[in-house]
Formats: sequence, C-alpha cells, structure tokens
Amino acid sequence: MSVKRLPAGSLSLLVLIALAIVGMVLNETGQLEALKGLALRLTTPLQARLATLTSSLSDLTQAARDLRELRQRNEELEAENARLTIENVRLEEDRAENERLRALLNFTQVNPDYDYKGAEVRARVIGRDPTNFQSYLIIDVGSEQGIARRMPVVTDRGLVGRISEVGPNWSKVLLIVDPSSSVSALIQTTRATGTVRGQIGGSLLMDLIPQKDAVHRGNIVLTSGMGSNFPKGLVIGQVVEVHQRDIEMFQRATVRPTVDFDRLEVVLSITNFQPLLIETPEAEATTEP
Amino acid sequence: MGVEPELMLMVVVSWSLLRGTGEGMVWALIGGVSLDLLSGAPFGMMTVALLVVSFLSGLGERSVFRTHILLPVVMALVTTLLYDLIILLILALTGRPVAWTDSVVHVVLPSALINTLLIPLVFWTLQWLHRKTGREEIHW
Repeated sequence: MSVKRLPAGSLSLLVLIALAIVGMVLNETGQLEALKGLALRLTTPLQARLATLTSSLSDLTQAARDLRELRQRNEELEAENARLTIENVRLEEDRAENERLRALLNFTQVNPDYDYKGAEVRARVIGRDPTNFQSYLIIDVGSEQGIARRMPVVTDRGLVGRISEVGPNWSKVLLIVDPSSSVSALIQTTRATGTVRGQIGGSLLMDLIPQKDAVHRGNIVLTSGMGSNFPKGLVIGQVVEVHQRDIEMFQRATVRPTVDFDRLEVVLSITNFQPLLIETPEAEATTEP
Repeated sequence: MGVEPELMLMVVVSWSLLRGTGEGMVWALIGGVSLDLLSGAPFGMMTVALLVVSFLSGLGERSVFRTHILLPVVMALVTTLLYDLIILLILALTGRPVAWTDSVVHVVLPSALINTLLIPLVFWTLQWLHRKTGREEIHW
C-alpha cells in the first residue's frame, strides 16, 4: 500500500484546526473560564495604558486640527475686522461730511438772498499759504465754476475771507485773519461800527470804534456792509477784550473769529454779490472771470 | 494759525551744506518757485529768500565741520532769521502791512526755534541720501 505525500505545511494547518476545534468545544463546555480570567487579569493594565496612550494621541491630533482651524478662523476674523474698520472710517467720514453739508445747507436756507457756489478746500497740505506771515487758502473751484476775484467766502460759522486770485479750477482765498485783510464791521447789539483787521497769529482786531459807542466782552461782531466789500450781516467773531483809553480817538477790541481756520474743509463762495471796486484799472482788469 | 516748521528752508540749508552752493541753489530755485505758486505773496518772494539762504549755507560746505550736527543747527538758526526777515522786507516793499515787532516776536523767533530743533532730522535724512547718491570730495 502506498502512502500519498501531503504538501508541506498541511500537517501544521491540520493541527491548528484541530486545536481550534478543541478550544471551541472547551469554551462551549465552560472549561476555559479560568484560563480566560487569568489572561484578562494579566493584560488589563497593559490595555488600560494602551487606551490612555491612544486617547492622548487622538487628543493631540484633534488639537492640531483645532489649531489649524482656529488659525484659519482667526485670519478670517482679522480680515473681517480690517474690512469693518475701513468701512467704519469711511462711514465716519461720510457722516462728518454730511454734517458739514447739512450745516452749510441750513446756512444757505437762512440766507437765501445769495447764490452760493460750493467749494472744497483742495487739501490741507497745499491748501494753506506756505509762509508763516500770511493766511491764504486754496480751494478747488475757479473761473470755470463762476468764481471771480473779491467774491466773499463763508461757512455756516461765519465769514472766511474773499477770493484774491482765480485760476481755471482753483482760487486763492485771502482769510480775514491775514494782516492785509480789512472788513467793515459792527457790533450786533450796540451797532457800533469799526474795521476788523487780521493780526499776526490768527486773531482779529476791531479798530476805529468811536469812543461814544459801547463795546463789551462777548458782543458778536458782524459785517456792516459798508464799503460794499462784503454782504451785510455775516458773522465775523466775538469780542474777547476791549481796549479803551480816554486819550485815544477810537476804541479797539480783540475779536475771536467764529470760524476755525485750522479745520476748514468745505467753504461757500457767494457768487452773486457784487463788491464795489475802488482799485486801480490794472486790478479791475484782473477781476474779470 | 500758529507757526509751522519751514521744511523747504531746512531741506535747502541741509543740501547746500552737504553738496555746496551749486546744487543747493538748484533746489532753492525749484522749491522757491513751488512755494511761490502756492503762496498769495508776491511771486518770486520765496525763491529770492531761499536762494540767499542757499548761498549762505553753501559756504559751510567747505568747512571741515560740515558733517558735524552743530553746523546745520547753527545754520538753521541764522538762516531762518535771515529768510523770515527777507520775506517781511519784500512784503513791506510791495505795500503789504507788516507789524514788525509782532512778526518778529510771534513768528520769526518761534519759527527759528522750531527749525533749529527739527533740522537734525532733515539733515540726517539728507546726509543718508547724500551718501547713497553722491560723491564724497575732499577739499584741501
């Protein structure tokens, strides 16, 4: 009788299958409980440690994921914050401009007799005279917009000055605080008249006030309209100090202008006011727009 | 409407000290005409004042102390006084009302002080530019 040769490893397979069947039978009959208990007792601490380690690793990867998400979220929020800040600045500028224009509109409604031409100071950097001795502004309207020399320039707070030089789309405004500026004025309450002149340093001096007239601190100074250089009734400023000496022919008063010349952004030029020209023919020729 | 630093004056003084009268006067001309265009004063007033200042400052270029910070400081003080007085003189000559005492007390002296304090910043900036762009000559 010949024995057929089995392939290599077949015997090991048969043995393992036999052991598995024996194990199953023993398990079903409850003979393995003691052995299983012993195995669990031995492996439980190790399993617990493994579970802790696995949990820690899981937390770590979660934290890395969270960090990445938080960074991304932070970047998004920073971008949003920057956008909102810019928008807020723009809205704030719009609000401030709206207030200025509303104030000018009120002024034009209260004084409807004049035609106004809105003009915006071109820029602070080039909008002011570069010398410390003179006070001029440059505005962004000129002859193309109907501006001509000597036209009064105002804001809702009062008289600013008058146009001294005109280009096609720019004009220079001689401010009333310039030492070469002179405005016929009167005190609102007492109707005392005088001449308001600009002073070095940006203040005003009302001169040539008759001694008999009363002038008090706090009085409002208006344009008198005399000399026809400015319309009557525009606010110039408020008396802050009175200089009265009996030995002098006239009184003088220091006047604080109501217009804040350092913060001028929008002005109005009164375009239909015709100033009286008592200048040389050469000057008159340049007055034409 | 207070006194403001005269930047163009400080630039012209500094550049004239660093590069001499020739280049200083070129910038005085350019700067002066630019300022005259913006000013309501008689045209040419700032140009004349800056040219005089540039000429005076350029003399300091030959000094061995020209890179010492004290020279521009002293020069700023002297030239501001000269510059402002030239402007006042031209304003007076062209028929503008000039209150000499008030102008000197409230404008000329404060602006001389401000320019003197600020010129080191302008000078150091231009000195850096001078080293980057210019030649370094030795005068014997």
